[in-house]
Amino acid sequence: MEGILFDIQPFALHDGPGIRTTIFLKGCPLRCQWCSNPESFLKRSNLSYNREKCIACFSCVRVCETGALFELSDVLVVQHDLCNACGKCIDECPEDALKLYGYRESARNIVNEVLKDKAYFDNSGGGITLSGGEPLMQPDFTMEILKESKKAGLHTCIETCGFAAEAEYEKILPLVDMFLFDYKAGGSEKHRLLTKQPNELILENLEFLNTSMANIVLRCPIVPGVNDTLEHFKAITKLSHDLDQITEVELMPYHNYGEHKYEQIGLSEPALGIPAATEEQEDQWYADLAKLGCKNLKKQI
Amino acid sequence: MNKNPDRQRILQAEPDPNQMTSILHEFTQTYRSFDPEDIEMREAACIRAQLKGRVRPVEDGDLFAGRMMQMPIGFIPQSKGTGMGYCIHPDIDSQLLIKPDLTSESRKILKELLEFWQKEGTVYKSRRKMPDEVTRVVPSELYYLESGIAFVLYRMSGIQLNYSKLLALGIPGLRAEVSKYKSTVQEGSKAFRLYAAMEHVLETFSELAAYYAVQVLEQARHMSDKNRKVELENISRVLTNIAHKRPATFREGLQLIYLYNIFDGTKNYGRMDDSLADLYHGDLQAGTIDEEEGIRLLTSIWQLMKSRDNRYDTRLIIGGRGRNNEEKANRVAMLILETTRRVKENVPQVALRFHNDQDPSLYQKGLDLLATGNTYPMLYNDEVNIPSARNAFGVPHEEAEHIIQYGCGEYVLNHRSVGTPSGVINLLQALLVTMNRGIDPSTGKYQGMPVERYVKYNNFQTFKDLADAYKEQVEYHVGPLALQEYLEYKHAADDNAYLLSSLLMDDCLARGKAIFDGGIRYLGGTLETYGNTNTADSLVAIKELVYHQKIFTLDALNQMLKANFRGYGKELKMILNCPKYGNDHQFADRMYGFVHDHICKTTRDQAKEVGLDSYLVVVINNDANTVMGSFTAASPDGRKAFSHLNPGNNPVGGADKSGVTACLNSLVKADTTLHAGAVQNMKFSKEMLSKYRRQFESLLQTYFEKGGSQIMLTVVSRGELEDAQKHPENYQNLIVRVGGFSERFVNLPPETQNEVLSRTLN
Ligand code: SF4
Ligand code: SF4
Repeated sequence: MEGILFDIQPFALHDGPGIRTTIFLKGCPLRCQWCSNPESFLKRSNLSYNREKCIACFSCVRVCETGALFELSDVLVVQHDLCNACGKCIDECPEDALKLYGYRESARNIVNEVLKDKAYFDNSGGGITLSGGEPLMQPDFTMEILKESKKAGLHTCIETCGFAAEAEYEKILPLVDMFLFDYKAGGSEKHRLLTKQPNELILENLEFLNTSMANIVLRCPIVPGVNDTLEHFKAITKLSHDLDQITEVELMPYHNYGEHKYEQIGLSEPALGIPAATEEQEDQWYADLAKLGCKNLKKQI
Repeated sequence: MNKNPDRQRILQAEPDPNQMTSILHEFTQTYRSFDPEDIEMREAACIRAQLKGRVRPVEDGDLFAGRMMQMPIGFIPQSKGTGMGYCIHPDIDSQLLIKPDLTSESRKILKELLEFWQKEGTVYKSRRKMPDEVTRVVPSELYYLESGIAFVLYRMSGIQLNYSKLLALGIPGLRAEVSKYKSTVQEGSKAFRLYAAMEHVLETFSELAAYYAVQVLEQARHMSDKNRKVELENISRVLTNIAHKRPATFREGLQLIYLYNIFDGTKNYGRMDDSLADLYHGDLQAGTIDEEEGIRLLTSIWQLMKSRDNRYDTRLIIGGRGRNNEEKANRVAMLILETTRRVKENVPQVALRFHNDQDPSLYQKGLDLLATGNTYPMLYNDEVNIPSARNAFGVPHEEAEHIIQYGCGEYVLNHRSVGTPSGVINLLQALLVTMNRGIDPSTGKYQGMPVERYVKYNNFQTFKDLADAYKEQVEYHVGPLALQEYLEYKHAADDNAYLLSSLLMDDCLARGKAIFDGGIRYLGGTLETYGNTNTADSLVAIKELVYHQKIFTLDALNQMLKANFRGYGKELKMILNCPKYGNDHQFADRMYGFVHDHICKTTRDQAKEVGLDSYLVVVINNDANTVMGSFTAASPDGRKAFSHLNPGNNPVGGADKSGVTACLNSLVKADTTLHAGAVQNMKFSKEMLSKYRRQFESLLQTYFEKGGSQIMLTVVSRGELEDAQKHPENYQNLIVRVGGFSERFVNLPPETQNEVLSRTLN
């Protein structure tokens, strides 16, 4: 079976134990303000246009049949909502200014690609990680990849925002060795403000995984000035005590590597536009959490 | 000891140019005073005669004697640039000729000397003797000045002496051995003359050491600083001892190695952990030395090495199988690593060999060094290299265990073989010329194999036609290159015994023959190959776009290349989008295999034809790839005209887009059993080796288990990252971690690069 993804990233060191290959699936139910992978939002392909590389030759305009591309006083204008991601313009562009995020691939091919690095996984205790977006936006495809992975003897991780039906978690449960479960903000209102979705469902799923004896790593994106609050840290600490299955609490300090992508893919919402967290900030957060008595912190300061 | 009346006068800070001129004159007179047949004694006398010009005093802070220069004209076995034996040093202009205080009288003498040596120098003679079948095909040595498929180099390099033997016997022991051999051969025979001349140079060595001892003592007498005075007295004592006795301490061992090395003019230091193991162990047992003292001594040697500035050599190998006593040797190896960690210089080039049964702390220590920004040690995997060497060199396992590197990464069998790279071939140029049916696109002139040879290839109607023509083009050059190498050795032997090297190379003494006169156990040669990966990627693009998809013809492609892709943006993009070596992509990696296997086997098979024991490809790193690239037109892999050829065995910079594991997976596919060294370079950001050390170790471990033979790792600092932004072409293989994955730094958008930068301290 096929699904849509936008990247396969080998030698990933941050998405679970050991050396891993991370599969980035398209589609996400949340819209976190700080997202560094905005190209993952939509469950379909989308065009990206890099103005810096464009030499305004307009070869692309000539082949576009939908009117998504046009010339306006010597500059190229991209009307993203008209684009149907046919990809014709991409072959025309001599400067690689245009590209598509998202391609379809079968679960089997993906796993075969991942298996090229099996030896590295075996030596490091690594494996495959499904990420996104939210993998469970494509539940059957996710299931299929996990099945194929398990057949091939791979260690599996899934990175999830928690926003999916409990039944989906129940289905994948036996095939997942580790859940990298995001915890972004306490309080449903605040959560909605930051991510455009409430958090009740997310917390229920976390509970569910805990009672189902899943192996959970709690991953907390921390954005300076947004959720680096005492209140939030206390909530994290409480979870670390209440949920026995949380084997590790990991902070994900905000970085802005993905900032430039917002404009390129034509998002109306701008990127957060704040500087990345520093290493000192990260250490401070870990120290603060340690002081609050948070258990299983990934980093001991 | 006072046989030499000049002894008291040979040491000077820097002989004045007129004095130097008279030394050179004397040297030349010495040379001329011998019967040309009597090459052994002539060499011994010349080595002695040139000492006056070579020896420099011990400098402040030195713990060892051995500051010696190469002569502007002299007997220099391994000269910089072109030279092997009697030669004019390439730096003679700056050393001597442009000195303002050179008198017109001296100038006149020098002019005569130059004229004389341009006839009499070893290389000049060899060039003249080279037969037409070589010079017709490879007429030039000027790979750095002009376009060409192949070039010859006249030189001798990479001698790795038997330092273990030197230290075990000492000078007197070595002399005794020579004398014993001498007594078994007929007086006046060639072997007899060789042995006698060897005795003579060993005597000269003892005098040199003793002379230094006296000088240093003299320096000590005038020294007001008490500590330094004691130090100088120590240096003097060590020198006296090694002049007449077997070295008894670590310090004496070091002094003997260093002085012998520079006296001979060789540039590499062999398996230093092995040769010094017993002496260091003995000192530790006796309580006369501790680690800090060991490091202090090595530090001084490292500084002396640095002052010689042989940055392409100065190899020193530690670890690995085939050492006498691994445990003892490992202690010296640890000392060497610690010294390198502290001194942090570009020499010595420390290479660490490792194998499955080795004490892992040595390897760990090596990684610690790399993690802190050292470029050494380079890592060499015995489990792959020993079996590979057995096959490539065609020697038994016990011999293959002695595989070590010199220079830019060429393998030799430690003091058992020679393997000078005496030729270079630009495979990409061979392809480009072939595609243009004999015309070099960069000059428009005819190059390479004769035009009639193209006829049988049907105007390149199929890819196979083109590939076969390329093969013939390459083969056309490799034969003469091999012959040149063999003949160059022969010619060298006509005039030189290379006494000091022959003394410590197997089996010269036992056979009674000089190194190139049948003395060396394995007479090997190597061929430097460049553009290997560019060629493979070019062939992939040609096969795909011209022959498979038929998007354009070969002639159209030639046009694009001629235009340097100007006006062919779309085509260039298609070319760049073709599969490339280094992505674990079957088609591209197989093509690399084709290029690699062909050049390696063609080369290897020439050995028998010309009479060498081995003739092997080396895929090494130096600046020849840049230099030769600057004469090479645009190529079908998307490479722009006159830009660098890809260095070493690495994928073309930026082409391995599938990440570091895919790149390593591709690397291990190339057959390692066919060549004498292929260099892999990788650059990583610091945190990869510190924060992600465990994963990083697994990465390396897996690479080595899969058949990785070698790797040179560099960890870059903030300053280098900044430089990488300005000069991306120099940092094609720098890998950084970006939010959980690793990526080539140069492939990141500028914003992200800045981000990485801001996170990289120092
Ligand atoms: S992908 Fe297709 S529809 Fe979209 S801009 Fe390009 S040509 Fe037009
Ligand atoms: S083809 Fe590429 S370079 Fe030309 S206008 Fe379109 S985006 Fe710009």
